[in-house]
Amino acid sequence: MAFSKRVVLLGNPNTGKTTLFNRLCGLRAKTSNFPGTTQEARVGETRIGGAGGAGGVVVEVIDLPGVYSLELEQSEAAVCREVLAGRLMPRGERAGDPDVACVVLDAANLPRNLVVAGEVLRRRLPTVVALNMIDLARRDGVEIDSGVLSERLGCAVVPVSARSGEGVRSLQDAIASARVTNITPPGSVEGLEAWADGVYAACVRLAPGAVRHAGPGDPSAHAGDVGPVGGRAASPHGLRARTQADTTDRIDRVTMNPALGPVLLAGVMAALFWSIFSLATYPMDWIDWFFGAVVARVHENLPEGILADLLADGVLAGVGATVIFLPQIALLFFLISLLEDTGYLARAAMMMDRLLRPFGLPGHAFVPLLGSHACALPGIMAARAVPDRHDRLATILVAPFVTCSARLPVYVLLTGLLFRGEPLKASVAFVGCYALGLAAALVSAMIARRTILRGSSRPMALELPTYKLPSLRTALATTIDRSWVFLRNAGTNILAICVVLWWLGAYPKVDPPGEVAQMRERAADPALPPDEAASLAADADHAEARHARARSFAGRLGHAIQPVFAPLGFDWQLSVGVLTSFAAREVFVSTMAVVTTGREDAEEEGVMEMVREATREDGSPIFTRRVAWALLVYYVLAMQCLPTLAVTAREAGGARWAFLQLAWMCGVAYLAALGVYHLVA
Amino acid sequence: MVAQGLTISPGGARRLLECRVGDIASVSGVEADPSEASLLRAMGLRPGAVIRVCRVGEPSVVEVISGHTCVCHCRCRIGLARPLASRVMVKEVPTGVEVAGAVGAVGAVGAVGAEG
Repeated sequence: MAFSKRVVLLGNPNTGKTTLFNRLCGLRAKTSNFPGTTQEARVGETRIGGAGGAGGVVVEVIDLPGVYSLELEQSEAAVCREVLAGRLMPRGERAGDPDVACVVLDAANLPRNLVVAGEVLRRRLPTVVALNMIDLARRDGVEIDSGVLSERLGCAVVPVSARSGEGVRSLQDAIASARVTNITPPGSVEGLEAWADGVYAACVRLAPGAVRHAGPGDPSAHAGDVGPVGGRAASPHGLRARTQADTTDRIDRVTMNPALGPVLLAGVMAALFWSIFSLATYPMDWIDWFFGAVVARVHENLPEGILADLLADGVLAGVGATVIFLPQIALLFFLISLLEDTGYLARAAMMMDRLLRPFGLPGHAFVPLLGSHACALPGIMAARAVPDRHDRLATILVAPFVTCSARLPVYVLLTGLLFRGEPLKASVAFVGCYALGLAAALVSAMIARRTILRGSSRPMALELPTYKLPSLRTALATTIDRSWVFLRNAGTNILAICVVLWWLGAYPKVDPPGEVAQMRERAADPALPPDEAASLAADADHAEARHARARSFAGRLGHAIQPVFAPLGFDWQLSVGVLTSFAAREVFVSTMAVVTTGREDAEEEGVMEMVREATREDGSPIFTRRVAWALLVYYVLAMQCLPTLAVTAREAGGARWAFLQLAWMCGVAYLAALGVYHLVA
Repeated sequence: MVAQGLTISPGGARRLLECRVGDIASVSGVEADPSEASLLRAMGLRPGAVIRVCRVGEPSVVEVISGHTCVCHCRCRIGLARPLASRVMVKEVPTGVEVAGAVGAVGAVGAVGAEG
């Protein structure tokens, strides 16, 4: 759609910019990244002019990354500079100058916020200022005279509250008639800061009795409502503000306490994981059932042949394998967004900084590593928030070591096999797998920071927002947005890979072996009881599937690659399982089910058991204790997810990082599995 | 009136890490590389900014009370990893600048450094 105008939203972090964007554009917005960067922006549309009615025009709104100053070296600032200069736009958007810059200011932190406003005004773009959180400032006894502010800035200033919606219509009207300012703020940092102080002093009106403090460099001795300098009792407003700071102090004393803080963080994380791994299982089951039913319908209604196979076993199985993780991803982002909005996540990241820094990772890596526990794709994408390039690369490289939910079916299969009838030991082994993955991530980061990404992590400086109730609207918008990005990125990749794997596993078609024909003949014997006949026919089907898989391209590849895995004790069937799970780890169990039993539905009761008891062609068990241990360690550590590699290449800025990740993770996994194989012996 | 528990010696600069919780001080400089110093400055830790020390250690937390002017309501709180906090230099708040909450009791306002 071609828009008549393009509006960019920019301002300091934590000014409620994204809340305002959601208020303007609703939930129908998309996230696009800027070409050649890891920065992204949300793009939506809103109606401006026409006094908020239907008479206005629809314009495009771009929510730029939050910046403390446009002149910083950070990539966020570089992106904002380029966008304002008309040289950069999010992927898929036409290039060109923005028509209106809407600067979002936090009414309660104006002096600092005004610096960015000054930097924007210097660029001579039609500008509007949204004075956000005006309700909170008023509550605290701070009155900003928007008329004076507008006069000093030379542009429209609209007091708004993005949370309540107050002033949003006026803002839309102001955007429609935005003009270029006639003032030129100073260019130097010191000059701009002094200018911002002056503007602030001119427009702030404190409620009677509230306190203002004048410093020696105060450029304007604004009197008016301001009391004389000197000690006096604080006003009720001052008291409220002080009490609020005291409340924040009190909560911080718990959340950032060296002893209580980690316990609280562990509790919050436990609750988060419980939600992901228990609540999300219901919709996951529904999705599983839905795709199962669709696949069955396709087989029922389409004639047997390549089309039915491709559609059912390639396309639908591929889409299903992706979509099944959507509830976990959505829930994870929803909960993370809620936590972030409360102000707690910033504190958690600060606390984690101390733990992660010895490994060369910053506290910013906490959220990406947390997200990777559901799936490495959103985890790696979350690494965009890591400001330093080396820190970000290290985070991206090691995030897939963390146990994602796709590894769980394999863990269930193997821990169940290793500790049959001993659920407690199986649980400990399960937790051990998580610990091993996390340890591998941290140690790998440490190695990377001492070799290819030499240097220590950038010490963290993070604004700690005020604690507040989270916005469901923002959380919902984030969830919808991230879910869509996940589906688009992973769905296309996994779908393509699954179709290729399906082809490798299904072709070339071979004639069934003689024994299968004999079994079928016997099953067709009318003298045989119906139960026995049906069982014999099913066995014949399984034997045929097994025979076909062994002679398929995948089977041949399994045979070819088996010598590589022979030192780990893997036979050709396991090698096929390992090979096919390069598309996605969860494919392993179903592949093993097909290879060893001919049945595909691993959920079916007893099939898991049959896989565990599968035998090699010489009749010896595939899953000996040694092999199971080696395989478990291999699956904890190996990079076996092509979509992750694709996202790594994109986010890290080159395929070489994906190759490095693949080689490092598989190398570590192979050596660790080899060690375990010999140790268990 | 002088802020209670102030550990900033008159006239001398010291590291943020050497302050005590509750201290009110003025930022005198940041001994970090230019990009870090610029970021901290843009976040509000500019020379002359008055801060309240909320937490010292790993991490340190400061509340930026003012640039050169302020109201007693401020919500700008910055967390600093220990290596950064050790590079932030602070000094006594200049004479004549009064700061809300400089004394322990809620509701009182003190002119910090009046005796400095």
